[in-house]
Amino acid sequence: MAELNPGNQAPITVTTRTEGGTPVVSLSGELDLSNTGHVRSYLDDALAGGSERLVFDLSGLEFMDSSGIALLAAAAQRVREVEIREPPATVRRLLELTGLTEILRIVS
Amino acid sequence: MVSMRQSAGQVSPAGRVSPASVASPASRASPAGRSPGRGRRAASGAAVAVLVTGLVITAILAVVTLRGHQRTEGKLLALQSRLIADAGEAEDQLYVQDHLGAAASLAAATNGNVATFRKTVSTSVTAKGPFIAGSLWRLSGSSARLVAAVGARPLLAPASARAAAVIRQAAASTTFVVSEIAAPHELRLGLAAAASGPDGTFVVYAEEPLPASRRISEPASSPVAPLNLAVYLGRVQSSAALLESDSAAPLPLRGTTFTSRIRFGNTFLTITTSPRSSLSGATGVVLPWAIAIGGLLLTLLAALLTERLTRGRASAERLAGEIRQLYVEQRSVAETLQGALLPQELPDIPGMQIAVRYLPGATGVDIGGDWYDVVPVDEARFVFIIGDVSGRGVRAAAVMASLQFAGRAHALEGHPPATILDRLRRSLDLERDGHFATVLCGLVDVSAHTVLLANAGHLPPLLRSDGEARLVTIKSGTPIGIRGSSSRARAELTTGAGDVLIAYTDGLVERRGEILDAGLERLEKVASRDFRSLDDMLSSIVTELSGDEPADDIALIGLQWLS
Repeated sequence: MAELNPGNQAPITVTTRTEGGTPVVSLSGELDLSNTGHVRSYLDDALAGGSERLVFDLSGLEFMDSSGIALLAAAAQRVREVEIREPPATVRRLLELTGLTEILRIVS
Repeated sequence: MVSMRQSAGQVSPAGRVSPASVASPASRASPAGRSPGRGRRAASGAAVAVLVTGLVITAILAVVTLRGHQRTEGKLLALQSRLIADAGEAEDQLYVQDHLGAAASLAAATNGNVATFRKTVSTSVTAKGPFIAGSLWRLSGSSARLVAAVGARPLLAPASARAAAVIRQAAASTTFVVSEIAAPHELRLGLAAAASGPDGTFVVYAEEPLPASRRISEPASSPVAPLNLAVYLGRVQSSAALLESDSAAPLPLRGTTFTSRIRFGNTFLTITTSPRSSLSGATGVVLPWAIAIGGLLLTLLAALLTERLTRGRASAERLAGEIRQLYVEQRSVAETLQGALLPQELPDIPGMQIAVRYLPGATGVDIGGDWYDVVPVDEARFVFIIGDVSGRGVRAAAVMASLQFAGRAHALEGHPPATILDRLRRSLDLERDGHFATVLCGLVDVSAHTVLLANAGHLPPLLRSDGEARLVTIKSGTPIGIRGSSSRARAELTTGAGDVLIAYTDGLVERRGEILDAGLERLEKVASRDFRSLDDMLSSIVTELSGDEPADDIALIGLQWLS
């Protein structure tokens, strides 16, 4: 459950937008320990408006490790509902096996 | 949840922490790239090589240029000297022939007419020269008789035997005869030319004064001006034979010299020249020095630069070595710490065989957060726990330690697994602590052959029964540290004699870019093979699934019912 990417940061693209007042954070690339801090800063901005819901669009995500789980789980504790949109099979399975599906709403 | 990125990791034969992962004094003292002070004082070989090469090239260039310059100088000198010699030869020969030869011929034609002689030599024998004394001689048989004399008194006394000898010599010679006539404070050149007529042979003798110091000065416009010039009578460059010189330098001339010899009557004039200054201009003189000095400076600069670069590289290598060393030390410290946190000895549970494996991941220095524990509850029951704290580093290890101790305490209190996990939830909060943990906890009743499982986000255990390994179907509650419920994440198993239950952390089955089920299937497949023992089984699983390069920590615990 640990991942370290010494030196350089794994490639990730973060885009944020809102859908009817709900922030949507799209992640594409690889999410691991090397760049969760970077993504977290976007998350803070997205939640600054005090929204009750948050959507992660993971359709472009190719890889996620336990740091990504921590990121999603932490987000789930900050708002009432976190929706995970179109996670790839690997990520979806990871969320199931770690019990995160209990607190995240998966939408395919 | 992890990629396979780097190498290392080692399986110890009896489980526990791999001995190779524990720091040894030898490994700490290893001189990996550490050689402080080396190359600090002495110049590097590269710099010396540059210096030597540069100096050699500079020297060669300077010498070649100097040689070239000297050759040019020599050629120019030879050219100028030849011109001077050729001109001198023609001039001197003609001059003497014109004046003395002509006077002798006239005397022969006029049978030694004195008036004609005086008239003929009136322009050449004057107080100003070129001749200051002149005389006409008639030769009768072997005796010479003075016919007339003009100008100053000759140094060669007319009555002397030497005078007679000179006159006879001139009469016998086909060209004019030259002799040096020296008096205490005076030096003259005696020249005698003969001509024969119907009435006998006549000889005209004249004396040309030479400067007493034998020094002459040439006007700046003279073609001789850029040269030191020394003219000797005869073939030898001796001070006695020196006729005249314009050189301020001591004679004979030294350095680049050119010597030419021209006919002068019955003898020779030896003309030696050397350049007063560079004939080819100042550049030729300066160039070799400019090359030598410039080359020297450039060489020194290049050597200095090389030295600096070499030292920079040496210090960079030294730094890299030190960093590598620090990394090795830090990593071994981390591994020692992790090893110390894991149980050093597993309790002996009657009726059960228990084995463990722990492999530190190769990625980075940071200590991981995998752990396992076995806690006897009473004579028939024990609790096993396996967990994995997210993230790395000392904080993750601290979380792992606190969860391990708390879990152990709750187990000893006799709580069922679900309660143990629920209580662990109180001790960790992702938002507060920055870490979460997946934990699988099981209560084993050895004699009853039952296992009560509770799961907080951990991967399902594997049960091998009757030679077939299957993942246990168990729901997963949220991990410890993440608020949620784990109440439904329970399962109860019944086992038989020889059955094996294996719990593990994700490092065993996870590969970057691969769905977890693929790793889980690999595990089922490998665990279904035939094994000699539980140890053999765990070793095979670790070897087959982790490969040579486990990127993440791997913890593995195997429980086998002996009866």
